[in-house]
Amino acid sequence: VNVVLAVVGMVVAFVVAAALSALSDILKEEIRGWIELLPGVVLRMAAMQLDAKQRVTVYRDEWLPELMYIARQSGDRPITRLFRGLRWAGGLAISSRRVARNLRRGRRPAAPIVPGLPDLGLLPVAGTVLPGGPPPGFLAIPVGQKDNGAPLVLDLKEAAVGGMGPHGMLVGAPGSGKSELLRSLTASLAARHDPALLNLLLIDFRSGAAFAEAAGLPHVAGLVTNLADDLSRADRIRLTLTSELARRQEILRLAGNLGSIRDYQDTRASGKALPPLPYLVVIVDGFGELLTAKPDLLDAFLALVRLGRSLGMHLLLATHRPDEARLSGLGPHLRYRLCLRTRTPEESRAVLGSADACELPLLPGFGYLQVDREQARFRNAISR
Amino acid sequence: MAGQFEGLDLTPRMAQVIKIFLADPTRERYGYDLMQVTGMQSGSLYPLLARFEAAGWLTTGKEDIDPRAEGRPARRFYRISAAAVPAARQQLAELSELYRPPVPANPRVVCESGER
Repeated sequence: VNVVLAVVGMVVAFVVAAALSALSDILKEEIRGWIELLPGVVLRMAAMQLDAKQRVTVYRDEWLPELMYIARQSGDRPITRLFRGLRWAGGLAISSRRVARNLRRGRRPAAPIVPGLPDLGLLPVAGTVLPGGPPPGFLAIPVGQKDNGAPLVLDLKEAAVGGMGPHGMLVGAPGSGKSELLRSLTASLAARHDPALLNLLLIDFRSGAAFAEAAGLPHVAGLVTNLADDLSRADRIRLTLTSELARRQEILRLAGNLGSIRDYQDTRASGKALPPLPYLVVIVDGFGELLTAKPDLLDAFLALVRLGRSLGMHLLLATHRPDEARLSGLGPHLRYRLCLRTRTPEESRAVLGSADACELPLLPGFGYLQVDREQARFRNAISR
Repeated sequence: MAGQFEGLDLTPRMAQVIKIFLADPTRERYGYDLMQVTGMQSGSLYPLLARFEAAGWLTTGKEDIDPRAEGRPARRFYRISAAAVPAARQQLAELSELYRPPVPANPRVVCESGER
């Protein structure tokens, strides 16, 4: 009898255990189902506040995919998924009436990025209206002291209005004071111009040491550094440059098929209601390395030097390896040449046509400015 | 320019959101990611996005993915419109001017109290 009882007891215990385990699996499934379901239920409650049409464009096209994305993000952690989903859907349930009201005028489809977009947004802090023509000294900045002590002024304007520009290059071996000169050029440009008239786009292949302090200036429309670490930024530069060229062409066209930014400024000064269109000076440091790493960028820069004059875009290329810049066809467009000490006579020749820059004093800041074969020696201030 | 565009008076929250779009005008942003960047709740963020969109400041489009490969439908992204970029820059500049603490009337007092 005892044996029979023991056997029966074991069988009963086994059956109960099996039943319990099956039940817990069902329970687990049930709980998991609820976890998946609950945020969805809350989201559907939120959708009830939407108009019939919005239920398609907002609930089906935006909210549901977002919730599934959030669930994905939370991976294999059901509780996290429940918490995030509920928190997100709950917020929408509270605010969906406002979303519906705000969206009653319909959704806006995104325009394709190219061409004409993106707008760099080169609009100034203050909407200054000029009294007529650029002010005297516009785009002219001191770069240093000549040997006779007089200030040497670099005028970025085009030749037609007596300038040395529109484009140029700056070459100097490491330690020659190139970063320092870039710093003082940037600072001078900013200090002497209203951001309504002049914006800066600063690009540095390396750490951006030359431009670090300039980042906060209202003139700086863009600062791109560390391209060496992330070459995908180079693609953005190309997109930005080509889009900005296209945007400016479009602005001139819309303003009445104007031929150049000077016509635009004149038209604007004459009282026609046109938004400000600042000049843009694009300064690239480490250009040689940039082009070596990303040769296809050349086309964007070629377009810039060819079209930039009439569109108010000025390019200054800085490098310690002048050969690439010359070889790649940009050379003839780079009119003014700033050359600090170079390592070899060849590098000096590539920039100035003579070995002069190789024989400069071994002190940082000494250099030559050459425009159309006219040359002057200067010394830049060093602010260390 | 493209599409209708109307001016908005930015509240600080709206400024916070539009500033993110302005940082990289070509970049596409998603609702949930914006919540994480701004620290805002969905209840505050989504009505603002709707407001910006209705006024033509933001445009939307569909994420470029293959839903079958990803195992989820494409999400809807937001991007700042070209027309909004200058207006947003201008308004952010005006707001920061408005909220900047005033320069003391007598700067010498600040120095004497041991600022330097």
